Amino acid sequence: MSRDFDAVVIGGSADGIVAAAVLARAGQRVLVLEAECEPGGTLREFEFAPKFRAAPLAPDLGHVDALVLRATGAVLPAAIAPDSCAIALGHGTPLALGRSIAATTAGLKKFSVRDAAAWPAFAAEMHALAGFLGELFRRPALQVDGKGAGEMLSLAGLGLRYRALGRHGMTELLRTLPMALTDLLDDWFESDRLKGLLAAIGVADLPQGPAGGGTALAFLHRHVGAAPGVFGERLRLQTDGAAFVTALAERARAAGAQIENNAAVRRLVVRDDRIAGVEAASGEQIGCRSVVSAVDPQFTLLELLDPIHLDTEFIDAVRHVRHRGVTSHVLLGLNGLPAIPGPADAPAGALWIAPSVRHVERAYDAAKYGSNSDEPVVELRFPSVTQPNLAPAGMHVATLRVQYTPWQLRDGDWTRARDAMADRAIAAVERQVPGLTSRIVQRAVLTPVDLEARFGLREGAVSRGEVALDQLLFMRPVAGWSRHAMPVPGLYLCGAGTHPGPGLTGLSGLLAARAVQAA
Amino acid sequence: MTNQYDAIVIGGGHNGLVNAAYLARAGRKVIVLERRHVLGGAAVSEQVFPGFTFSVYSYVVSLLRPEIIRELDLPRHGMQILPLESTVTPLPDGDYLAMWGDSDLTRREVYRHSPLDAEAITEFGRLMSHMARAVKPILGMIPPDPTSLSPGDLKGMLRLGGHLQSLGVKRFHALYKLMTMSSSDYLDEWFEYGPLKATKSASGIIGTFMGPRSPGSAYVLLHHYMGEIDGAFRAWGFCKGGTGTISNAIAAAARAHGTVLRTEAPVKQLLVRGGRAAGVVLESGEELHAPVVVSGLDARRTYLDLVDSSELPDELLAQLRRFRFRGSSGKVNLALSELPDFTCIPGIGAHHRGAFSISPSVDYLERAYDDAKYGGFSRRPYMDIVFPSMIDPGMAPPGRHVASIFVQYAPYHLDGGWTDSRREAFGDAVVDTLAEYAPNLKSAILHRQVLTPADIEATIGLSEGNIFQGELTLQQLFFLRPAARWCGYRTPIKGYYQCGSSTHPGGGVMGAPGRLAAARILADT
Repeated sequence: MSRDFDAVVIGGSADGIVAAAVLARAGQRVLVLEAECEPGGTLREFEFAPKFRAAPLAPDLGHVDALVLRATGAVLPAAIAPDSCAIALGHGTPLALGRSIAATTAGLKKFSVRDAAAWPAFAAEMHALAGFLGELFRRPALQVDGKGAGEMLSLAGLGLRYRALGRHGMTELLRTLPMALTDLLDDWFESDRLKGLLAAIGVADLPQGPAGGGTALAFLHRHVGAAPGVFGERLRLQTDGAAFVTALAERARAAGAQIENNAAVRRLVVRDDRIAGVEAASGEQIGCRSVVSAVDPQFTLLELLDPIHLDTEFIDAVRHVRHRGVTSHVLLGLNGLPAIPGPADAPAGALWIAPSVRHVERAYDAAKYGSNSDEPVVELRFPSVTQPNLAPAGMHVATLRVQYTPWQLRDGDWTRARDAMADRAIAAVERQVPGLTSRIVQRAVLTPVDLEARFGLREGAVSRGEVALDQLLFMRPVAGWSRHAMPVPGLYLCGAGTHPGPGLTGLSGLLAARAVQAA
Repeated sequence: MTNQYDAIVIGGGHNGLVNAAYLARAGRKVIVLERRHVLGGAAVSEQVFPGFTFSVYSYVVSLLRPEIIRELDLPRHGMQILPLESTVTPLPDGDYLAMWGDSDLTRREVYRHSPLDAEAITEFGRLMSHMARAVKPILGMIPPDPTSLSPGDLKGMLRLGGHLQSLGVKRFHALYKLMTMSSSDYLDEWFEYGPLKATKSASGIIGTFMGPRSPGSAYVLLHHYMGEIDGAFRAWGFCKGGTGTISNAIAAAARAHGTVLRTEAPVKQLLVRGGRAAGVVLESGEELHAPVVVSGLDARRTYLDLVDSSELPDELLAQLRRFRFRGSSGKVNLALSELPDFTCIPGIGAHHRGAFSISPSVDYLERAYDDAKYGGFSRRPYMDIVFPSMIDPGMAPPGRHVASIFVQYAPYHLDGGWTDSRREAFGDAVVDTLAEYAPNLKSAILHRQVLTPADIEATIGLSEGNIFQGELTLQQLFFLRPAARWCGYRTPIKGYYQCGSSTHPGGGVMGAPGRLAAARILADT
């Protein structure tokens, strides 16, 4: 082999770079191979039309745990925090969820005095429950057969955290996780507007409607690391999220890691039943003791690796991981900003078309039978409001996250359905934001099929594996193999497809690196 | 004093009767108070039309715990289980899928549709019985309170933990998947043939307000696999004389041990003295006294109807408000001049001795659910149909027949509420759908009884018509059934216990809650 490293990281996503930085800082010789022209993965902005840019898959960086910053030495780039986070459009006055619990409570009074009164307690309880999940997510996934002193200590620590929830909190956690989001919201609120908005936030990118069991867990998963009462938003940077990856990459390089762009990996090299290196698309064989793959688990295990090295039961389990992307993105270049209903800072927040729980559920029904929603749920953002450099002077960018649009359409293929889907989404927005359509000068559409082709997201699922009770914690990516080390010695996985799942930026990279170090 | 007892059991449903029988067997002086004129609750046989006897509500057996059959010697008291031999799923294209008691026959039949599935079905059955065996000890466990540090609860948690660990990692993971996945996703991992997946996933939706694609529905699938007759897992049966015979057999066992059984004795409220149960007051004003009162009613009735809420902690009341019932199924009982002749298997034959399942595809079931999700009854519902008179000719006059049709979905909270005309429209939807598969059905109907969840609630008292006394969803099981901290059959009122299906391990003609509650009471008092 021409070159030799301790570890090769496949994929320069945030998780991949975190893994590289942690290993390099521990003195390992690390090489990162990124297939694209620069690291950042789905966090990267791109030009969707001449002079118009956006990073639609990551308007928000998610949660960056303090552990990640400590282990890499990276510093978070400047963040922004508009007062209005999520605004539900439609049927008269917009309903706004703000950063301040008091302000949200005051605003909710217009919709329901009872709900306004319940809001502070709801915010506190969701925060406490998500806080406990956060504890589960920042350590290696619990294992059923966990033994050994470290394991026991970790368990004892968790046990204390669990007890700290109090009797009520402990019960609520057990009760809430398997619940349908609809039921959870019904337990707290009466306003359909409020419930519709929270339901849409909870099931974002999920191939389930809010009446599906376990959607309360998805709602909480997304709330980990968010401020109390702030839903649908965690960490927004002044720039695109890739700025954070750049900061991480600097730390990794400073510690001696090499990062190579335009360097796709063709296959994993296995010798004597363990990882011996990787073969790049260029044909170069690069030797290493361990490989940390930050790209899709199925792709890594079933395509980069020769399946001969895996037993059939494991292969079956990997094949059964559910993805089912249901989200499309419509990206618009605008020659000006339309008048946007709601609070003054609404254009800087996320605007939702999800007027009721029924609306969200009905939108899901279509996808269940393999067709696009007639009345989709839309999350509308104007990223150029806070990042003017995304569009030419005086112009703006609008991004529409459209749900539900199944990866696999039952009749016909996406080439024919693409434009009709986008038209419907734009029409739905136009009804709430009149004048949007007349300002459109550019438009690009990314269906789940496009997302798969462009970003390597299997079935177009940004989650890289549905967030569901049976695909989290010790079940992610597959039962019993959640601690990042795979059955072939020397092979490790990180990224959203592994524990702790999407939106917890860098944690899986950190945990995978620790697993490499422990080996 | 004649109105003084050791224990009073409210509600003569099968769990109340089991509870009474076990208490009496231990030497306690017990009385059972039943509101209706007939014992059995949802497990009753009634002559609804002259000459035609129906298991009006619950209609098949398999979950009844074998230890109860043994310990109460139920066969001696008249219980006789006759096996249901097959399940046939007629298909819209005129074909069918049949599953027989004989697994070789089933394999051959499935092979006709999918050789891959024929291979998978044996292994699937084996896994399910492993899983059922893994769950079985949990069914026989009094749930500990996981939030408590009391020695008893800690011991219970350790026992539970020990059991789960003894399963081994692989089985634990398999069980966990079954507890958390949707039945449709779960079956997708095993099978490819649509009607097979649909028919199997149908057992995952029974009695719950979920579609087969909702996570959490796979567990109910297991619940229905748990059936065992004479130790044989998976076999469903029919009780000679109808389900009421089971209740009567349990009642006879209770009586043999000295239990007093009173019907038409509705209880108005629990008597509480000095913070503990002292007896009950009947609607008639009569008072009965006992240091132990056991309610076999569902959680809502046990607490909210019979007890003044001021006696109950807010924490419990809040949980009860959130405990979900929402009955989702109805029942149609038909008196027939002749058996329906199914176009997929013409003529009358052995297949009529089994069940028919109207579940041609998972989408069909999902669409049936969609109707209910938005407040309507399914226009084309899922149905499970049996002809008890084919197994026990005594159920109908010679040459005539009865059909028992379990129908889902019929939501309790129907938009606009249930009325007589809506009930009949629902009955028509059932008959019309079934007639598509058996065209002679309509002309064969002599009488028809349609029961909506509202009727079930009004007649036998099950809140919102839920056949399990509360949904069998993960968040309403084990130590959360019906409420955390009050999951172990005790209530906040000393001496007051609950023993219905609202408690662990839940519904079905299983008897386990009644038996476990008796064990708790006998240990406590």
